[in-house]
Amino acid sequence: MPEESERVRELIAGRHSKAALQLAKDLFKRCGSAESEALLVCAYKARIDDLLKLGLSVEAKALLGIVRDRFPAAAARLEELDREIYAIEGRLEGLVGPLRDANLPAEDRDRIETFIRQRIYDLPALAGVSSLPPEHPLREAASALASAFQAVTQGPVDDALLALPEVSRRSPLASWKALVRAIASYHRREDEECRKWLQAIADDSVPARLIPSFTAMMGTRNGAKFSPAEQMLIAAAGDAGAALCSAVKALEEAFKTRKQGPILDAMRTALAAMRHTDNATRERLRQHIAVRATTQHLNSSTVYAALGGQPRLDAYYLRLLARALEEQRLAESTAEAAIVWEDFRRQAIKENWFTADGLEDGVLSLHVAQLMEKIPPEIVAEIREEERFYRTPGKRGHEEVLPSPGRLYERACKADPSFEAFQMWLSWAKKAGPWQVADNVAESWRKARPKDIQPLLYLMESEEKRSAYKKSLKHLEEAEELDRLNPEVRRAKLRLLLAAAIRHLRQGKTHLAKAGIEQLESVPEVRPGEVAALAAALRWYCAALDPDPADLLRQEANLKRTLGDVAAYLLLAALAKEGDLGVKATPPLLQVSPIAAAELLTGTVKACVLGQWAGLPILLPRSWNNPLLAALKLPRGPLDEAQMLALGEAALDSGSAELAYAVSTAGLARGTANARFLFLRARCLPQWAALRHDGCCLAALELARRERDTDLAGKILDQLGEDQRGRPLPPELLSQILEEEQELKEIPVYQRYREPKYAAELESSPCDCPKCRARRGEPVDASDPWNDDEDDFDDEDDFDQTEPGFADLMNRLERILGKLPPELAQQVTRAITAGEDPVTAVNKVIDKLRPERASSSQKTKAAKAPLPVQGSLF
Amino acid sequence: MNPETPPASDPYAVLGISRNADDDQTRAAYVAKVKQFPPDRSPAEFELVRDAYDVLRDRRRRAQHTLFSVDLEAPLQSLLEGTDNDRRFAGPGPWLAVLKEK
Repeated sequence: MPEESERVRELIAGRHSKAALQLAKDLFKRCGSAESEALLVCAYKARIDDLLKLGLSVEAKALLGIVRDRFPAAAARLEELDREIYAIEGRLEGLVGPLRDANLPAEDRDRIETFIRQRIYDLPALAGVSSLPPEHPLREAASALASAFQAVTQGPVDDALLALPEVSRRSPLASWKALVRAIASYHRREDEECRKWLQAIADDSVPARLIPSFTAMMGTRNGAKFSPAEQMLIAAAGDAGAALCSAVKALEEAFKTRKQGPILDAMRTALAAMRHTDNATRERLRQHIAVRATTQHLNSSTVYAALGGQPRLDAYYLRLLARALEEQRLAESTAEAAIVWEDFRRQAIKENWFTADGLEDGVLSLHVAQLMEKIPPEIVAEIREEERFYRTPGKRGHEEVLPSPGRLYERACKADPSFEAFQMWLSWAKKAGPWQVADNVAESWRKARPKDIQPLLYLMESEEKRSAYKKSLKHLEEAEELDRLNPEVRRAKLRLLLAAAIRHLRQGKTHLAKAGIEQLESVPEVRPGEVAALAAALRWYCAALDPDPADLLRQEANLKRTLGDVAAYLLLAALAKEGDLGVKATPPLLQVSPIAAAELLTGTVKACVLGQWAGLPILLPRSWNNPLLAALKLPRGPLDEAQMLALGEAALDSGSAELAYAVSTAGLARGTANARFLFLRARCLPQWAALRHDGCCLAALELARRERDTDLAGKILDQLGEDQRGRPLPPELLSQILEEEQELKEIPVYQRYREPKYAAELESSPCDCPKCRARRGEPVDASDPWNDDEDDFDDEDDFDQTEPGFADLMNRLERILGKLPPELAQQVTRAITAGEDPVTAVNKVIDKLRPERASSSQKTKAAKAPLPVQGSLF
Repeated sequence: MNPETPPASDPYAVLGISRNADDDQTRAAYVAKVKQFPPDRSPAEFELVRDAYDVLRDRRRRAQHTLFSVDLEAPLQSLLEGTDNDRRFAGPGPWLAVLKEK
């Protein structure tokens, strides 16, 4: 029956001992041969072995007795099972007893020693076996090892304890000696030494069972499966710090891949490694990991699942999240950051980080208010709409998820009534709503800081604009009481008195104008002759309106003597324009041709500087462009930077971009005050040079920030588009822009226009597709609609620039934009770039040029006397 | 730069004071640091110390630092600094449990 015999062996090999035994019994009954008996004993042995492995030692022992009785010839083959039973029952006497015999055959000795090496783990039991004398080397070795093992697992040990001279190299317990030394090295953090001792452990020995746990504990085997006992050992004695550090490092690397799968896997590993860390560290790690995941736009519920739940929403976490959202520099993220900052504030107050209405509260509220100002109104409206939809009645009380900047500024100023906070609040109020809002802010400022002049000056300006002259004067007096010598107060007084005099002249009330001029003459001068010149110019109009020819001549002579012919002409022209006086009194004409270029330039600049100081726009005649341009190119120009900037601003106001550009060229060539000249250049560039405009603005902004010129920086920010405001400018790019702009000395012409080299670095509207965002190091959302591989349209097919209608439209647009002031033309270009219909964009800007519809009360006043546009003086 | 100089991002560490230090303690620490790093001998260190003091002397700037100085780029490993990295002695029990298991 060779097939059946083979089948029995197969079943034994497959550890199907029960079936093997049944088949072997059948075979033995039918054959009764020695071969079938040997096979049956083998099957019994396999069955007893399986029973022992299942922990059924009693059953195994009974079966072994039956087999031994039935097949006495097989007793020698069953000895191994005897030893196994001895070992399991802890009765090692019978097992090691034969070793007492010095004449034990080497083969038997080897068999017992192999068994000890492979199966005995109870060293104290072995050390106490009564079948061997106490001085027997095996007992002595076991005793020494048991003590050493106990010691190395409980605390640091001396090298003397590890010497273990009782354990010889040939001892069946030699691997235990290596194990004891490996454990000691492990706790001493001598990993190389530990590995050396682990290598000395025999592979088939009992101590070898600890090698996988060791490697895991030393951080060289992560992610392997361990038995419960091994997991307990790793947890209890493992190097938790190293494992966690390695897991966290792996997570950091996974974040760099920006792939959700590897990140989540690394998170889970890190979470497992965190089990033995203290609660505070674990929570901090979970919070930081969750925030990192948020910035990478990973699905929050998946992340929380990988992290074993949402991290604790305490002030620390909320602050971290808010800062991370802010750093993304996207409108939506900024809105989210503002919401989270508000949550942080509530939580921080609850956790006693700071108190409500304390300094920190003020600083935080100011910060959030500034963030809110950056959020486009449509996003704010969207969030408010969602808020209305989701709000549970009574849940949040009166608090909004997204508070208005006004409320935030109010809170900031209440908590920290600093000058800067009020200044920011007022600045926001001026832009945000009707004049009452800003006036209320100024009144709050006055109450909180009664010694500050700024709210008074603002109120004075606001009231003057609304023709509330008496109130305006009252505030001026209050400002003078506070600080009469303050240059801002002096300047405000001059502007107010000048505006009043012009208004009286327009109304033909020369007696009132004269009284005002006398008051104006009392204002201290910054530069000699300026106030006298203004007074002479105003008196010239009084004489012209009265009329008084003798006084007219006298005042004209006075004026020309003080300012010179050129500046006198420009000043009279500016007053005529400002007060609509040209019809009633025509200023004397000026022949430019006989005047030398340098003299024309000096006179013009004198008028520009005076106009800038007095808030009176000086308009430069177009016919003066060429001589002024020629004068600017003269070597050793007589003008200082302030004068040049005043000329540049006047050129911009007069719509002479070429002259303004020439001023910026001359200014940049000097190499000082680059920020202001770059900003001037940005504003005089044609609308189609949008990249250069942004480049100049960004460079000017960076320089202004370095010079801590907040006033200039604020103006530049107003000029920059939303997408460019937070954009950092590397130093090398700043240098490149400055160098190239210094080289570009002529105003660009459309037909010959070439973008400067730095334009390649500047994209006016950075592409928002995932590839470009990833290239820029910005987070990419896996669910981004951009990820769709199929483009909705083909640029070249659907946007054919050679289409005849398009060319015509562009030509007409070019003509319209050429007629608009440069700043408005820039606005139109921006709107078109942002995707707005060109016709709508132009109409919107033209609407802004139309006078505002007056309220009913204003209409009534207007019926009495036509109101001058005095606001332009401020 | 002195390798022992703490990171400039933390003015408290630069001056070597606790976060609860009052104005007098801050000033005293600043004076001590200036003596340690005089501007003529250690200009870079002095600049660090002066910047740190500028942040902490002004209550508003100090509050701004407290609220907004979160280093988002700091590696996650930095959170583990100061945690217990010892290999714990678990006693013979867990070791024997593995030895018995197979």
